[in-house]
Amino acid sequence: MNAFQGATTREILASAESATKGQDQSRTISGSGGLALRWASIGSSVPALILYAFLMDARRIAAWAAQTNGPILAESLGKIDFLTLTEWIFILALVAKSDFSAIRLGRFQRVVTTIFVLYAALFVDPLSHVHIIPCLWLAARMAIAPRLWPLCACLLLVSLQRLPNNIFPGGLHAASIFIDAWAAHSLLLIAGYANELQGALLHFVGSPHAIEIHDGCDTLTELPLVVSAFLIFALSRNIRLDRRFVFHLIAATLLLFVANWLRLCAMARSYDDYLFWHDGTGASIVAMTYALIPFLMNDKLAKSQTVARRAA
Amino acid sequence: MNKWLCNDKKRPVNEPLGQSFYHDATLIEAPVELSSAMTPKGLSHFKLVALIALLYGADVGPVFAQVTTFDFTFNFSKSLTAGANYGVLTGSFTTTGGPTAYVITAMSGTLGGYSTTLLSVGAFAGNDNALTFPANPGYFTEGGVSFVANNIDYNLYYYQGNYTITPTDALNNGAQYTVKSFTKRVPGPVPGAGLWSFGGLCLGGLATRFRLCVATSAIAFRKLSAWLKRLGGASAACA
Repeated sequence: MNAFQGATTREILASAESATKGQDQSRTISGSGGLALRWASIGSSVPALILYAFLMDARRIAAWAAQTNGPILAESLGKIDFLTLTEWIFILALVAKSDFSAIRLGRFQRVVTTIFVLYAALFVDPLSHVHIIPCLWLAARMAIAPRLWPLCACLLLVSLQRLPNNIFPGGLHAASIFIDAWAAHSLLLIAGYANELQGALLHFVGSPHAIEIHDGCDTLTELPLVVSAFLIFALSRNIRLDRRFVFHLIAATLLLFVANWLRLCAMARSYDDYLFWHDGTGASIVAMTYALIPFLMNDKLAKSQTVARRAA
Repeated sequence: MNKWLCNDKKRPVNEPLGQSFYHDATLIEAPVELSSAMTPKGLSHFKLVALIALLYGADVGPVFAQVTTFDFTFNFSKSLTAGANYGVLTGSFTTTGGPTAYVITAMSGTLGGYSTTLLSVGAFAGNDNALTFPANPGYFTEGGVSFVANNIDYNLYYYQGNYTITPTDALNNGAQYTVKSFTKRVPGPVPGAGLWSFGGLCLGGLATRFRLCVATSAIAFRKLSAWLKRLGGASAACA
């Protein structure tokens, strides 16, 4: 009996295709040439490209941290962006669990991406955001596979979140500065500290020291980083986007505002306090707080969703 | 098996697949697998990749520069040849570059109450719009930075230990100014930057994955102990 009786042309062709591939593979895999091809194939696969993008970003972080005026080690360690590195760890963990069979890179694309990676590694300025290019391209490819949408979103967020140009218009920053100044003024009054607010200038009554809030110190500047960190941690852990998610996101945003307001209150006390909380150890403590807010809120969200799922 | 597929409806039943027939048969070639680069979707991806590669080759890649802002105030000191008191110069420079050499890309502020607008490099009096911070020995070069205020072009430069603002393209013209303040605007705390953040994230991870960390540490400790015992046994055997 004909094995293909009743089979469609597509099935026949697919069977021949797989048979041909098997034959080709059996011819090519043997020997060192086959090994090289296998490694080249692995090295230009989608997970490998994501790994290269991570290495490019890590190189940028290291290059930025290495730019110092004073003692190299102390100042460099204070500039390393550990939050972005943590985000990449979560993303790579998601990559390890993901199935990329829906995305096939052709031979030409693999060659081009390999050349691009080598070019980026050898010739591009380490400080550049060159990792944006492979991240955007891979995100565009993943957009066709619904199961890879969380990873697609994570790649977009991690690549675009640190663009130095302000994404908010000046008017929004002015509003944020006004809200921050008014909130810090109110918190100080509630705590019993007499203070005066003149525009963005905040000072204690009778004190020669005053602080003026610029758009580098308002909460709006930190908001995109904290929100994108929250989203990356959530998407990489396959958290459901439900009411709890929205609630925890809003809570994280409010915590960020409160943390910045408290920092402004602390800076307004005296010039020494300003130096501590703006340029000294206090600034590092606040940076740690900003990083922990999305991290811990995400963990709380995951636990609450797990509990709700079990109860259901 | 060869790659040729026979599409013969009259082929004998037991004929092995793959052999070609030249009678009553339509010999067709197994389709060569099109690489995804050649399918319509692949072509669009190829164009995107080619465009990106072209952009990079043309050095138009996304090398986003870090922006730094400096706030300054200069006060009038004394007049030079054909000079006058132009008023207090105050405002801020927006720059790129660093960590010590910057290029001024924008300027905001006032000179004697008139708002200032930065002129491009080379527009007036050989300005290079370069800024050095900390001062070494001055913040500007002899070319200085040029701007327009009240429809008059001015050049602020540093020469022989003095800062001068001049409306003419000549040295020792205009007025000398002294620096009242020149500060670099430091941004707020960067989320996740520094060793405090590293320690906090490690502790946060430990707290949220406490049982996993304990279990992993226990497994690692057991493996280490076993390895040390083997090592001890091997060295005893050698002795």
